[in-house]
Amino acid sequence: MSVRIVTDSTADMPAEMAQELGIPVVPLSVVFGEESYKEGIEISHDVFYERLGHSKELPTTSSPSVGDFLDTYRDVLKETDEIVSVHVSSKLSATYSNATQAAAILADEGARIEVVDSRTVSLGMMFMCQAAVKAAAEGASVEDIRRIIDGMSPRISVYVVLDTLEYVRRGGRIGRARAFLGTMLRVKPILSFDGGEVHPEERVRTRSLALDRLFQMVTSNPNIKEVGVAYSINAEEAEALRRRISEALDGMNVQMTRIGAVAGVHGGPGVLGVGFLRAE
Amino acid sequence: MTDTNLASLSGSDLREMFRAASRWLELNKEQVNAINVFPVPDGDTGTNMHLTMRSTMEEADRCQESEAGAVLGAMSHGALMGARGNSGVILSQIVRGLALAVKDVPVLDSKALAAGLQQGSDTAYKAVTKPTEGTILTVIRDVASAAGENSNGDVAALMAAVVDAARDSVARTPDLLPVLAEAGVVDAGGQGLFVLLEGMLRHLRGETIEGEAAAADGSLEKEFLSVVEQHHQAEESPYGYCTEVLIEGQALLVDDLRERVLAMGDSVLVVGDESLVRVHVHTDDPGALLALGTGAGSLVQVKVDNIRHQAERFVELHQEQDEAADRMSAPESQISSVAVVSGEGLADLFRDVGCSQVVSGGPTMNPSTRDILDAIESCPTDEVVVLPNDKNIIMAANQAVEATKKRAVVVPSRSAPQGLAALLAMNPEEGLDDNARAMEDALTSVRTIAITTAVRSTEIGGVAVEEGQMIAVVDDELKIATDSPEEALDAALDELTGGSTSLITLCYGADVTEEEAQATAVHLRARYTGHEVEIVAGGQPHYLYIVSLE
Repeated sequence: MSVRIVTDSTADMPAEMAQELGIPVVPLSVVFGEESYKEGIEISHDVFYERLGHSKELPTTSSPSVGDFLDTYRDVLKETDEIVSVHVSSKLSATYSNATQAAAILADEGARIEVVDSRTVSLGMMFMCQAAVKAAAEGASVEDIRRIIDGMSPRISVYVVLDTLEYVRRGGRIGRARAFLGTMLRVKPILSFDGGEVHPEERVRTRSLALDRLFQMVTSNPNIKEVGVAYSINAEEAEALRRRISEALDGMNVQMTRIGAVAGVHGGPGVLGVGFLRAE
Repeated sequence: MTDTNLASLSGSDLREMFRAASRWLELNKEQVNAINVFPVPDGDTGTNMHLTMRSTMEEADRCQESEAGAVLGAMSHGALMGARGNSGVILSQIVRGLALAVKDVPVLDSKALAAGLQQGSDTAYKAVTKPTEGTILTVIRDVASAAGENSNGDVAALMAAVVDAARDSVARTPDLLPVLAEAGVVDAGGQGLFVLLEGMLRHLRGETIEGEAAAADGSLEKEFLSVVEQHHQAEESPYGYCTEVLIEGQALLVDDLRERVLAMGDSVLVVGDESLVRVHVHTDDPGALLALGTGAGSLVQVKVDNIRHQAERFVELHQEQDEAADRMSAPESQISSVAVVSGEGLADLFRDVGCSQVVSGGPTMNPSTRDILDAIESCPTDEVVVLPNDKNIIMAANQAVEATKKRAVVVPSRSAPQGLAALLAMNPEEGLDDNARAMEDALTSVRTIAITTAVRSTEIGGVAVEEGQMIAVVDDELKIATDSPEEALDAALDELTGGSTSLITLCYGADVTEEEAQATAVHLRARYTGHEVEIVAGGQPHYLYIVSLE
C-alpha cells in the first residue's frame, strides 16, 4: 500500500489532474455575505470572478474545518494507512492548523498522517504534490516524501502581478507588501511568496512591462525543473506568457492553471502568476 | 593688491584673488550661460560655476589661518560641497588638486602655483569617467602646460601666460568638439574657467573688478530669505501676523525705518538702501507697517500671514510626513532614497512612491554636492540610493556619495521619469547592491520627452533651432524644433510609439494650466489609440511638459 497524498484547493490543481493523480482536494470556502461556497465544488471559478466583479461587498474566505479534514482523511484511510497532507502556508491560512488537529485525532486511531506546511501557494503546492505522488508510486515512505517536499520548499519561487493591492490589503494578508501601498501613481505591483509570506518585489507602470518582468524572473534562472503559469481571468494573456517562457526554455513543458476563488478574494481579478522549481 | 611684481602669494592674497575671480565670474556669468550648447533654459554653466565659487569663498572666509596651503584646503572643501552641475564639479576637482599639491606650503610662488595647476588638471581628468576634449578639461590642461613653461618669473607673469593660454584653448574647443562647431559656440565650462582666471589676473594687476552690475535685487532677496527662515525656525512668536513689505522710494532712511519697525513687534529685519527697503516683522498690527510703508514711499510687495494658522498647518504637515515616514520605514526596510526633483507636484509624486528625501535643484535646477549630501545624511537608513534625474547632476551626486560615511550608491537616472521607474523597481527587502542593479535595469524601461522653449538659435545634431521655437528633447537628444508644444510632442511621440508602448504620462509644468494640460491629453488620446494617457501636475520650471512613454 503506497502513501496517499492529500492537498487543499489553494493548490489550484486542475480537477482532471487531481483525479489522474488520485489526490483528494479539501476545499476552502468563499463567503458572500451570509452564503458560503466551497471553491471549485459549489462555485466555479468563472461564476466566482463574475460575482466578485459585481459584488458591492468584498467576500471573505474560510479554511476547511477540522471536521472537513476528518471526513477526507477517513475516506482515504479506507485505502491506506499513510497519508502526506500538503497545505498552503500556515502564515496565510488556518488550513494547515486544522489539518494538523484532524491528523492528531486520527493518530489516536492508528493512522499515520504527515501534515506538511508547503510554505507556498498555488503552483508551488502543485509541484510538490506532483513530486510526492511520483515518489509514493515508487514506494517512498512518509518520511522520504516529507524530506522531498521540505527540500523543494527553498527552491520554489512564486511571483504574481496584480492590478491593485486593494484586495490584498482588505484581505489582511498584505504583510510586508504594505510598503507598496498608497500611491497616486498608477502602478502594477509584483509580489512574491517566500518563506510562506507575501513579499514586495517591485512595481511597474504597465501590465506589459509586468509580464516582461515575470518572464525575466523565470528565465534568469539557469536550471529550471518545473514551471507553470496561473491566471485569474485573462486566459489569452496567460497563454501568451506560457508560450513565451516555453520557447525561451527550449520547448520545456510549462504547466497552466486557473487561480481559484479563495486566492481571487485576496488578489482580486487580473492576477497573473508564475511559479517555478529550481534544480538542486 | 597693486604690486605687479609678485614673488609669492600668502593665504590672504589667495583669498582675495579667488574672491576677485568669483566676483568677475558673477558679473560675466550671463555671457557664459548664453553659450550652453543645449539651448534649454536650465543647467546654466555660468551660474553653476559661480555658485560653486561662492561656496568656495564662504569656506575661505571661515578659515582663520594665514598659510596658503591651509586657505586652499578650506577652499577645496567649500568647492567640493558647493559644486553644482558638471562644470562646477570639475572646477571643484581643479581646486582640490591645487590644494592637494600645496598642502603644507605657507606661501605660493610661481613654481608651486604651476605644480598646483598641473595637479589640478590631473585631478580633474581623473574625476571624469569619460574625459572629453574640447571642454573645460582641455582648457585646464593647456593652462597647466603654460604655467609649467612660465614658472621662472613672478606670479603675475605666470597668470598672464595662463590667461592667454586659456583664451586660446577656449577658442580652439569647437575644433575638438564637433557639436560646439555645429552650434557655433565655444565650450561654456572652458569659457567659465577662462573668466575666473581672467578675474585673478585683473586682481593681481590692480584692475577694477566691479562693473555696471551692482548687487542685484536678486542677491538681496536670497540673503533676506535665509535670515527670515532663521527667524521662523527660532522660538514661537507671541505676535499674530508675519508681515513683509517691500518699500520703494527715494532717500529712504533705513535706520529710521528700522527703529520704528522695532517698536511694532519682534523678529524684525530691515534691509536695503535709500531706494529699496525690505521689511519683515511679526506684529499684531500689520496695518501699522503698511501705513509706515505708504508714508515713506510706495509699497511694491505685501505679504501678511497668520502665524498661528501657519503653525497648525506645519503640525499637520509634519503628521503627514510622519505617516509617510512610518509607511516607508516599515521595520524591514533597510534602504532609503534621495532624488533630485524640480517642481512641487513632481516632488510630491516622488515622495508618494516612497522616496525618502527630495532635493530641489535650486536656481539652475542643479543642486550642490552639499545639498545632496545633506539629504543622504537625513535619510532614515544607512544604505541610500541617489537618483540625480539629470545628466548634469550625476557628477555632483557621485561627489556626495563619496563624501558620506553611509553606504550610498548613485543610480544614474537622467530624467524624472527614469527616476520614478527606478524607485518603483526598488525592493524594500533587498540590500543596496541588488537594488542598485534592479533600479539601473529599470532606467531603460521608459523614454523621456521634454518640451521646452529654445533660448537660443543654434544647430545641434542636424536639427536647426530658432530662438523661441518649441523643442522636444528625447532622452537628452534634441530631436525636434517646431512652433507649438503639441507639434513638438506629436513629432516626438510619432517616432517612439508603435512598439509595445501603452502608457503616456504627461507631467505639466508651472507655465501650463490644468485646462491646457487636459486639452493636450485629450488630443494625445485621440492620436495615440492603444495608449492610456495620464496627467500629473508636476509644477516644474522651464519645461512645459515632461512626458514619459512606457
